[in-house]
Amino acid sequence: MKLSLLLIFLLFCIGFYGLCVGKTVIKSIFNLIIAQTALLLLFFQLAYAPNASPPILGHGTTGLWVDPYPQALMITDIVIGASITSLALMFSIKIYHHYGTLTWKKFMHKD
Amino acid sequence: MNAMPLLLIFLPLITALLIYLIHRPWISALGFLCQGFLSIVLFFYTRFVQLTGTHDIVVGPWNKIIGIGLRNDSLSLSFLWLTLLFWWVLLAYIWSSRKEDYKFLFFFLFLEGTFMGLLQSNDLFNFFIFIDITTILSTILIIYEKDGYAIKSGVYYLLFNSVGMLFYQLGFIFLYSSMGTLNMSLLAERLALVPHSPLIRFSFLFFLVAVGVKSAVFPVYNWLPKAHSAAPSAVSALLSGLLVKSGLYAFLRIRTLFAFDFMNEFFFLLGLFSALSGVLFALSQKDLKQILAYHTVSQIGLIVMGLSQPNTLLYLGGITHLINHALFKALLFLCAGIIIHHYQKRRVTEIRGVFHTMPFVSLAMMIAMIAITGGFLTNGYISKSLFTYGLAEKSGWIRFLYQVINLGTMTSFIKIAQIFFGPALPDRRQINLGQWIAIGSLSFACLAIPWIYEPLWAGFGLHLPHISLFTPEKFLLYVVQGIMGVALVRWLMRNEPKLIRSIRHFQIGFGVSNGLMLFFLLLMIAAADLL
Repeated sequence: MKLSLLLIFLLFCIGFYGLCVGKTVIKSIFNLIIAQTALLLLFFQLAYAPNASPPILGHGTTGLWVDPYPQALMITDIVIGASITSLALMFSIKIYHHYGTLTWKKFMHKD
Repeated sequence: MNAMPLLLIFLPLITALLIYLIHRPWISALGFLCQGFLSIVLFFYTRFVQLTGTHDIVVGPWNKIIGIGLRNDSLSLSFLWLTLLFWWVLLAYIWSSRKEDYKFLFFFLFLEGTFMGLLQSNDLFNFFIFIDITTILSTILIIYEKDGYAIKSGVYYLLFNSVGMLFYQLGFIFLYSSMGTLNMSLLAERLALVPHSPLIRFSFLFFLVAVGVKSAVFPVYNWLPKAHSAAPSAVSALLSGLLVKSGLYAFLRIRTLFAFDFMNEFFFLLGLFSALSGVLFALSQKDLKQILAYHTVSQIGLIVMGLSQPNTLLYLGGITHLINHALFKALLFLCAGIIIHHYQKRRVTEIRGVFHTMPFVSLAMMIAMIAITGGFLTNGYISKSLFTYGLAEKSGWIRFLYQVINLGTMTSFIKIAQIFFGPALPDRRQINLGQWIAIGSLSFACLAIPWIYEPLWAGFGLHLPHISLFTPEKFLLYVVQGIMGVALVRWLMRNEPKLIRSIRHFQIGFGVSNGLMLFFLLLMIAAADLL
């Protein structure tokens, strides 16, 4: 439990560090995905209980189920994240067509 | 009655889909039909909610703990009316140019549905979903013209807001793991009972980071001027007038949810700083829409200052200024859109002779400029007077800085006012009926509110105390500020200081602004520890 939380925290830090120092749009998008994945893992990890059955009908033999609510939420979250990613990737294609570069510094200073 | 909140969300969505699918010129009129129907629904729904105070529903046969909850009270109803008014005005404004642009109408009406959902949502996860959909749709509307500047501003806006929403997710994950539900009314009950563990306090701070990013306060406002000046004018009016308030609405909701007051003073100072820096940046700009966008930052700062002090005159000032700012900022952007479209120029130093070319538009724009500077007989005057009375309890230097902000606003609008003078252009364009209606109704609202403000706000549950707002010394102060503003503009025009020039070209990159967001979080943690 402690170790997995530490790993998730590390993953989030990697993603956020990448967002702070990433030089191109593509790298920013990828790091956003990494940080978001860390959050998904965190929610699953916090909802996890040892020796519990999956929350499916007919599986409950021990009388202890994993909370299904976080999973339902995170599915929606994944969908939202995917749409943002695809939109941002589409924009990066447009930016490349307009400016010939994907480096933040270069195209933000051009008109 | 239980279907009405859902109707408010789904009616625009279905209309948007129908318009896009049927794709014939006559179908666009469905937009107006939808608006009319929404107005009727909202009218009866408001009367119903005013009887009971609040109205809670859960969608589907689910328990309140896990179901999708919607809730309406006087705050959300006043926002809903504002939303409806905005879409009426903007639909009239874009009608002549966009009535056969079905894709634009689709995104435009879809945005109305999701924004109405955001206002009514009573659980933190749905709130998140609606905020994200609003961000995506407004990004699409920003880059709608597909020119280079719009696209780079759009991608900056989208990615930066998504990074901000990461903290929102972190906030609700922490809150769910300690409280076991995300329904706001249940959470408010439970949070009042338990001791506030570090997990809960951290989740509060994470929510505030996301709220700060969405409402563009001091260190993280960098996306706003880019996005708001790059969009088509009707969309700029929408973003600056209404959509940026979704962050402030979330701020109000989350503060009432947690009922913590230890960040109030911090947010007060944050608002003051964003007001100051917004004015400073606005003074250095030359692009008309860029100036207006930076003034959104500074006015949002004033509103945050007000909203951060619950149960005071300042709070009333903040919430009335929120609505007034929506009206006059939309009016400013719409007028600026017509002027820029006619002249094909954006710099205030190059546009001349607007008053003789477009007398009606310039009159409307003058009304909005008087309103934003807090002049007499306009709606801005009411809220700014409430601010002045509310700030009387604060220390002297805060009152001084408030007057500096007012002076800065005055100065940069006097700078804009120079576009009115000069000879007329040879082709005097008549504005079309829809634009006439949009601008006329907004200027009428700006002028009418000072006469009916007490019954108007009382209808939405804001009871203003009886203080005399119209005093001669305020008028004198306004005139003195105007004279000082004129002198300052002349001085700035003649010898532009190096500082101003370097501020104009000051750009913050995407990575650095993410770093600033982290800095914002650390600042809040430090402040929460101290206070």
